Amino acid sequence: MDHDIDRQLMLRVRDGDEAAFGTLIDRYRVRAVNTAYRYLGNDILAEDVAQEAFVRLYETRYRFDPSLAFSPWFYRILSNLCLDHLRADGRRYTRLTLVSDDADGLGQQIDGTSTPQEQLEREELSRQVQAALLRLPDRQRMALILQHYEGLDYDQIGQVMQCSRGTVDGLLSRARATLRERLGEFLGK
Amino acid sequence: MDTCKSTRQQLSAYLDGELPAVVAADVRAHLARCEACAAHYDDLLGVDHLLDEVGVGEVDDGFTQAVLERLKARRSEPTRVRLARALSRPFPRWAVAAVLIVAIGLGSGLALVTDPGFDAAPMTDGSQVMSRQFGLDVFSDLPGDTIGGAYVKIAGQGDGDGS
Repeated sequence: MDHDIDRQLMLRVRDGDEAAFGTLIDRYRVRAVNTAYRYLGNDILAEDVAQEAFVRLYETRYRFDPSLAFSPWFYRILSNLCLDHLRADGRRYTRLTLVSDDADGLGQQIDGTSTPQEQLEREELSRQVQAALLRLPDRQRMALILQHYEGLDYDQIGQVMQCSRGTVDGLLSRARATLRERLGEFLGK
Repeated sequence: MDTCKSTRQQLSAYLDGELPAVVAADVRAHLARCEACAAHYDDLLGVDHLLDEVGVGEVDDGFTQAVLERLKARRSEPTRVRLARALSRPFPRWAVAAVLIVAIGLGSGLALVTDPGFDAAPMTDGSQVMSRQFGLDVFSDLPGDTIGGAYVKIAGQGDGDGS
């Protein structure tokens, strides 16, 4: 149902309806920024890339194929921009974030019910998992983000990443095997 | 043992509900009787739970307005600025590879056109030409004034000048 709403909104955007474009941004902005953050590891860069993805979405609106779902099409624009940043100078940002204290960053979740000690432990765990995610090879990381956080199925991930279902399966298997190895100390807790 | 190996290769897709029903049933049956594979599966479930620890961040309400302003600014840019931005974007790897292949193809074609004949006579410095590829001669005996490593001489250049 949601996919149909997005598709209808995108068709209106294609006809130049800016109000529909605003609605589409509102529906996807949190997902877009968080996807870019998980991929790039830097909140400022993530917001910039997400904004640029929406601008590109509008600039290329005539190319939208209404027979396809909206989200894979949008994530393809977003993931290509993320990859462009990594190919240019994005890796520098990623490394900086990994060694910095990101207490105000997007990766933190405020939970009013836990004690300060529990909150600290949770933040440390979040940082460790985020660091392990950032160390995955680019395509494995993107496949995992799209599957786990964005809920895309293998066919949709294949559309975003321009590869087959089998390749998506292989990327996800390797990503999980690596994370199992690197996060072994936290498993079973 | 082979069943364990093939099952583990399918666990990620099983976890995601992406296996055909018949295959998923085989995996489920194997997990019910194999403790080692069941433990492996639990680890993968644990990895997925750990991924949930990377929290969701808030996005400022000004985000949508910022996008619309960026779009407006983009529209008012002169064509040359838009062109410069388009050219400054990193090229995809396939495009770089295609350019390299075309460049190498053109280079080798040019070498054949400019020097189609090849006479395998010994060079004046005594070295023996082994082969010629892409307009370069490769020598079996290194001239005395070379330090070592590869020694190539551009076809058609003067011989024995030590350069």
